[in-house]
Amino acid sequence: MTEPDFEELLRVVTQRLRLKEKERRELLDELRDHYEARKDALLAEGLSPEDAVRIALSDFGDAVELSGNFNQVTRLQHRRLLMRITTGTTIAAAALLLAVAAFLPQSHNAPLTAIVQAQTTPPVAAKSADASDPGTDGNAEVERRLERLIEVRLENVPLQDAVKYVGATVEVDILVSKSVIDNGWIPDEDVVLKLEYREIPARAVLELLLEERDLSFTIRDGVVRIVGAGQSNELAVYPVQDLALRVDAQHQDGGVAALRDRAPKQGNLRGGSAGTMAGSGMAGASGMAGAPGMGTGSAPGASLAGTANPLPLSTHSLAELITQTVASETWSTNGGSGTIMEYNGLLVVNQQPKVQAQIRKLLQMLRAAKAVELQKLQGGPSSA
Amino acid sequence: MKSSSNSDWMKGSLDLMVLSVLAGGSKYGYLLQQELQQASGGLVELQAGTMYPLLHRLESEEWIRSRWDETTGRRRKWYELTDAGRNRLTQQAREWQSYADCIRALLARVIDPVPRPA
Repeated sequence: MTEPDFEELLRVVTQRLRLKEKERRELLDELRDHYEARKDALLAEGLSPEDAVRIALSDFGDAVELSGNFNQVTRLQHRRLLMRITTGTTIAAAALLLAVAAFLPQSHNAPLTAIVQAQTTPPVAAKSADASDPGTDGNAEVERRLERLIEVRLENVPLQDAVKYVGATVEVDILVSKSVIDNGWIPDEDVVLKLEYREIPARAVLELLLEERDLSFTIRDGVVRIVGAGQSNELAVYPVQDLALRVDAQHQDGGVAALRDRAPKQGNLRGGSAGTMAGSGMAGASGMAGAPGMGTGSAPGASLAGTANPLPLSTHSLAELITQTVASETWSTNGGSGTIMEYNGLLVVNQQPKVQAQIRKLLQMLRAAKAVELQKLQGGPSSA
Repeated sequence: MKSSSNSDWMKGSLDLMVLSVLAGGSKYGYLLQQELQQASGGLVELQAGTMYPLLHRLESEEWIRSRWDETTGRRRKWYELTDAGRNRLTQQAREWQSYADCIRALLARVIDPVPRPA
């Protein structure tokens, strides 16, 4: 029989180590065997049972020290397995991101990231003039490196180590902000139970690791900083007049004129007229009927269906579109920290960098879809 | 470990000590601990709390391997050297010897500064 103190030590140690069941059982068996053998030997030397127990127990040190020693071993083991840089195309990254997206908690947010990723080459180039930050070369380089595909095999690795090695693998400096440490958000005991991907962008690994812990990261001065999810918010102003103008405000625009000319020729009275009726008080109808009409042959916008129709949007509905389709749970209306305001044809957004990036990409897609549509319409009448 | 004055040196050579005891045949933890103590003339007293993590690390580095024996009625984990571990031990033993020779030669002058008579 083993003594309660020793069993308590084992309980604490195995709890701190978060082992798999088999590993836990084997460790218990091994340490118990040692304890028993030592105690028996001490008893055989003539020591009292109390002394034998005390000395046998002291051989293991305290629980913190012992689990700390074992933890170092675990870290070393996994350091070797951790990650290996691989190279890959953006398309491969997108495909993988899609796979990863399925595992993200915000499933309605993830597909957008994936789709956007698939259509933007290279992803970092998506950082457009819309971005409000100075966009230093260092930050752009860090963003580029975070898009690198890495292999990840993490099991029972402390979060801190996991994050550190993502940084080391793609050669970016990762700093855990003091407030995060002060809040004890990355304690040594916070262990990544299992994370395995053959090829995944480093950025996605960081997001996977941090999101479920209410953490986020931001890139500043060429350094990745890990911060609390709400703390990473940054302000961005997006000029969206070009997307927000109503159709009737664009009468001088050749493309829209073409749309008006062409619509009846489609022979689809309801759908055709709806496309031009945005300014005639039937916004609801135009929104619904216009979308399928616009969608035909518009491959880039197909995945976003109605949202790809750039014409009848006001800034208000654009804000609505964004809050409903991009990371919807992160907006203040849904209990998050993000805010969006319309001001004189500008969208003022306070959000996490990740969401800002998604917004930039969405706006890019909307512009691309609009350009395709206008081009098509401009060419339309002459070919008809 | 027993002595604190030389514990830093010992930390650096614990791997080597454990591997060298295992070179004499497979051992379970308690047996290894006792043999190491005896072989070092009681100088090296490797605590269980240090030894088991060390054994697990050596195993993960594949210098040693383990197997469970249940024939005695008590489940017991035995460790033995792998070929890689034996090679490493041999190589490190050589390095250690030449290092020790170098230190010994240097320290001899400190301990015995008087020139020996010709």
